[in-house]
Amino acid sequence: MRNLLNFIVKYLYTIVFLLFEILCFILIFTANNYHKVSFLNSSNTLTASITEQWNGVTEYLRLKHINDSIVADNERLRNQLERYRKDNIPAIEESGFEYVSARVISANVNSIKNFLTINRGKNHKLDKEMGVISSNGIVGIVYDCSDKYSSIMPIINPDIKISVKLKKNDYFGSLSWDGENNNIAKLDEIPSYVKLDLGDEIITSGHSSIFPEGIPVGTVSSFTEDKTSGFYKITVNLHTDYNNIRYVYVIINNNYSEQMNIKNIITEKND
Amino acid sequence: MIKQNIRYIILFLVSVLVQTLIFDRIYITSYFSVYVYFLFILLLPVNANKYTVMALAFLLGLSVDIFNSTQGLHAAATVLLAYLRPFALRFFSPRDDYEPNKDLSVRNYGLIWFLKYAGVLIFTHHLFLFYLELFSFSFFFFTLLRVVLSSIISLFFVSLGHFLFVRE
Repeated sequence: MRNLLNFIVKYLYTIVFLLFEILCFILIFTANNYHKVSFLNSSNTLTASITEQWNGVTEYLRLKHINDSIVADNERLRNQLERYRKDNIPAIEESGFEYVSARVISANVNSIKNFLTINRGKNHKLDKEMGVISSNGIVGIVYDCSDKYSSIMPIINPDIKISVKLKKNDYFGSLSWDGENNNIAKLDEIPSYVKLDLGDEIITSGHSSIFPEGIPVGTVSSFTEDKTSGFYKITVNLHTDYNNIRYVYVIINNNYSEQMNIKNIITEKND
Repeated sequence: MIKQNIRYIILFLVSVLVQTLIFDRIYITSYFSVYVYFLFILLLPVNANKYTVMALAFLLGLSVDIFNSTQGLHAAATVLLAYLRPFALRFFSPRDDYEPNKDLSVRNYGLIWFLKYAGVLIFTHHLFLFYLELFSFSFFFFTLLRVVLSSIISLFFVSLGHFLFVRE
């Protein structure tokens, strides 16, 4: 007993250190299981309001750029609307998708586990696992919400995979990020017998019920054939410029719970 | 004494805010990220209680984590830095030892001393942080390059930043 006490006293400093590290590791690992300790992330109201205030200051410096991008977005939407009007396609509401615009109040995009924070939350009908897009293309998925703010896990985070397809022939694969460059992602699971060209458009596949089909993702910037697996290794230039992201749209899928129910019934039957 | 404490409280807040509102938003290339927030731990007095330092390091790291949604990641790396601080202080102690009421600064102990002391701690912090972030050695050399480049740049900004805090 005395030996044990002596040991503890002698190494107390190291023991305290290890206890702290264990606490940190518990935090790190609970974070990944769709965390219970949700006040510890950037959708937390205190930190989010600090970053929002700060943004109010810095935003003036970029007003011109923001205006330009909004005008460009408007122009694109007007054209799209005109096309629907011409074709007399019934209103898009039937698809069940609804869009909520939001401002990015903080973008941590220079490390590996990247996150964005936006100024919309549960009060605006947002919830976990909703898709987020910008005027250029896909951005990420809502990770957690407080009443007024949400944190977004962007595609440039190694913990996320998105189902995408080639626009020209509908072959689908999964898009992930390897941490090297925040404009470039990699695309797997495209079989190597598919004909591929540089600059081919990649769009969302609509398989996940998070994103509607056909949202632009990026273009093929290089590809090599992997002889052993029979799949391509493709790198994709992302359309979204994370270094300059200001406004995004969150996609609310009104049929989400219904689609999930059907999926659950199928998996239950298979079990 | 109270004045001294207020000075450190301000340094804590400024470290967190400068890190999260300025340095975390700068993206130049993925080859490096700049971290400066541990300047607070580096500049704590020589005779500060080492358990207090460690607890403060935990709080500091956790604050940065909350802003970045990286629960526990920075806390883990900063606690390691705080743990190693007394060893680094002892290892690099100047010939006529530290004076308890003097700041750990370039002015008091020389540039070379500061670069060695801060450099070793920053390198260990970055090494631990970047590999922990990936939780794999799959990009071993890329990450190692990131560690080295980031350490150099962080060290540069930390050395620059400490002049703002240290008094005459």
